[in-house]
Amino acid sequence: MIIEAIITLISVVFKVLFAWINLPQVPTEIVTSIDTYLDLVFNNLTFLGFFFRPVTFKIVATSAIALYLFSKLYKVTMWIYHKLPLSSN
Amino acid sequence: MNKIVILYLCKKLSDFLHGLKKKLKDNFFILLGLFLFIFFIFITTRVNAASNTLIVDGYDMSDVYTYFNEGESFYIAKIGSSYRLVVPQNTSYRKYVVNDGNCIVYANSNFSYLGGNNYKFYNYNSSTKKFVYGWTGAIDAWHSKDCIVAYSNNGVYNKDHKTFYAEPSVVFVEPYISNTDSDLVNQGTNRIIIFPGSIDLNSSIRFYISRYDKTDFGDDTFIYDNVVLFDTALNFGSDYYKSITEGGVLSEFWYEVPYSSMNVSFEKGQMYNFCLSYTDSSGEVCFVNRNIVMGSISETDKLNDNINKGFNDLATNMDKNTSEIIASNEKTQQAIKEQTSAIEENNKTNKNIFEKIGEMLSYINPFSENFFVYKLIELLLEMLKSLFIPSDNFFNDWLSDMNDYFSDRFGIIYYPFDLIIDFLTRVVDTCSNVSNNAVLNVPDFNFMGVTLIHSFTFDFNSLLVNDGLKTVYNIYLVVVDVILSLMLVNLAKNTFAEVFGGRFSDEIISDMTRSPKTNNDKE
Repeated sequence: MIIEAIITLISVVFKVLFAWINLPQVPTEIVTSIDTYLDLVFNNLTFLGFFFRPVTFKIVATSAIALYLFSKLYKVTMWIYHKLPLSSN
Repeated sequence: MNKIVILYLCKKLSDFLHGLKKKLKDNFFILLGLFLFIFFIFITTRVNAASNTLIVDGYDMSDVYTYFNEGESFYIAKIGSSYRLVVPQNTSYRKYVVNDGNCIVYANSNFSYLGGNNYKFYNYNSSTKKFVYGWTGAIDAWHSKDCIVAYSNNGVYNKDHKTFYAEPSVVFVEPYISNTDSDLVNQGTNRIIIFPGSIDLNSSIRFYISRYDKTDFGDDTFIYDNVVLFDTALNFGSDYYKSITEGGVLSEFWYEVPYSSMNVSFEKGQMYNFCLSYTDSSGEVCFVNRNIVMGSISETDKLNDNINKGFNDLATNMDKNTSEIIASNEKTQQAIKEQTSAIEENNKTNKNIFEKIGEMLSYINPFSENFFVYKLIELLLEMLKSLFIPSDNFFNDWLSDMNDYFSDRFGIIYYPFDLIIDFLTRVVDTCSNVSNNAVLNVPDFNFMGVTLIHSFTFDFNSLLVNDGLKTVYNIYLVVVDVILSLMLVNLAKNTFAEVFGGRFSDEIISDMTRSPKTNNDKE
């Protein structure tokens, strides 16, 4: 409840601060063209399933992301650890 | 020379016999088992052959068994004095088209209805190699089936000349008048009721009433003149035919002849003959007579009537008492049931009360799971949880709301961020929905109102036209799987080296590819 109240307060502050800004939107033709292009690309991505097994790809991709994030997280953790006065370093 | 050859042959023969004897001795039990097996097969074959023999009036129809399959039947019936053997039609049965006088076997696709007799049918069981039999009524369906019918005048026998077909044992019942003597004497009911017995409805029963006119010559000498007063034929077409049908099938029939239709006046003290005549299966005319003296009844009849009346009263009283006992019993059962129901209800109420008391006590018992302190702690934890942890959809709703707000306020400046969010959302959706449907959908491409490329769809799986290509494709997928797995292992190795120290894969490979140092190099 407290977290929700703080976040809601932040959003209220944002809304009050930027209420006076009212910039024009991107032209509809441009938005439509970009959406059409993205639809064309992503709707046809399923054909990639012909070149590798989707199940294998999901497992490998998930594992790869997890490994990449693990190394970054480890570095951040160690950086914080080194900043603490508890360490002999 | 010849002597030497003979001696040599004798020696060889002796050796052979000696070896044979030794072999017989060594393999005695095996040879005995083999002999018994062959003997068993031989005996079984012979027994089966014997039991599968059918002779119709001397004509051997044993081969007919070889053409029967599981569940197929044939029928044997006696129609009048001739026997009929009916087997299902099959082209292989046509070999039985013979005519040897007494026994005629022929293929007949349109033979007549066999009548209302019972038929003994044999059903072939191929596993037991035997025919099991049962009885059946007339089968109209035989009209429309191609069958082979074997006629025989003298019976159907098996190989041992024992009766193979037995005529159903039907007890013949004569037609009879159901009215009692006293009823006929006094015409207690206004009609005469006649039951046909075993006479079917198409065969006529002659019913007539005659009067005995007695002429007395004295000295105990007299003669009777039999004067027919009423005469009618009873059958399906007569006016007196009555019947009951159940489900459209004739259940029972009889004849009722009202006195009013007879136009006969019975005289008191006069003897009358109520006669039923019929023709039996052998063509002989039979009679069933009832002689009644009108207006009088014998002491025996009176006694019988009284006994019957007494029995009827007794039966009525017994029925009445039985009904009362049954009603009383039902009432008692109902009372017991109600009492049982009340007791069960009471037990249920008591059980609920005890459960409630036990539950209340558990709240103040520190060893119980329901101890109120535990409940209090649980409540406090829930309060703290709800105080700091937002609800499930809070962040999603908040982000969506902020995205809409910024998009609305900042417009063209915020669009790139909106586009990145949309792109990432599409990537996540695509990754979670990748399937084996490798279909490429290309829409229409228009330029200034002209369609440059028409829309089309291409399915990559359509390339796999034969088993050879499919096998190659499967091998390719396996290779891709292996490559992806190796790449993952390599990434894991490098990540491990990066975090915990060690050499990266490319360093190891470069060491391996470098030329080894020789002793001269070291020097």
